[in-house]
Amino acid sequence: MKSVNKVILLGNTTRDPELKATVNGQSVATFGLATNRVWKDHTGVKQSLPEYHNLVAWGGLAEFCAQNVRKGKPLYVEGYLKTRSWDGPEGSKIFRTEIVLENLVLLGPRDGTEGLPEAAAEHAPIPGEEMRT
Amino acid sequence: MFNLNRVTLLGNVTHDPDIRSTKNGKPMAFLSVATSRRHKNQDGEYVSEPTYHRLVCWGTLADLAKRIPKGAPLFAEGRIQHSTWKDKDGAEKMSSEVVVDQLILLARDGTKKTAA
Repeated sequence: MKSVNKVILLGNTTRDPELKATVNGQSVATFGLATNRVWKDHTGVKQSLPEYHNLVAWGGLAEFCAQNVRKGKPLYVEGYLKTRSWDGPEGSKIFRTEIVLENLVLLGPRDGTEGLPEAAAEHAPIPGEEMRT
Repeated sequence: MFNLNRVTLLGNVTHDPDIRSTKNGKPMAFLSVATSRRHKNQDGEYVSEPTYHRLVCWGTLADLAKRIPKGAPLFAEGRIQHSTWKDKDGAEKMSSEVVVDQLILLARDGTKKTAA
């Protein structure tokens, strides 16, 4: 059966993207985004709690993130949830759930120094072949 | 500032629900849902890769979740929540759950049950 796995986040970037390349040359960028949940408790007092998400972008989108996404800036992202696992110390398994990006929109005032587009989207991840020099 | 944290899932339930309640008797249920993603591997072949999601339901949603059997197709919406804790050996553990606010059971006989 076909399935749906879709995440939409709007929040603030918590760390600059870190750009790496896999062994076969595919670009990958990882960074953080915080969303803040605000609600009123039973006494009517406003409460808020942040949630810190780990984001991953591949290919052309990764390079776009590395160039344009900056810590502290608001960001809209769409993607899907993916859980990675690896073996930790003493044979225990470590799980990490990340949001793999499919689309993003830069929000907020643009950097005055660089002539970058305010909003850029639809960067389909590019297959690994035509990558990096 | 306006913030958004929305998750939409449609997939199959992989386990019977795990029914619990908090110390003060609030009902809750954990559901496990699998989604799959098709992508091309290095040899250009399509491979299907599953992702397993842990869903947390509270209140009336927990009552609905109790009746969802393993294998049932399910639509769920909510927000993602990441939590860290220390296990009994003091190791840092991390897990992510979808806190559900909308559940639609897409039962095999075609009937729909919903709660919000």
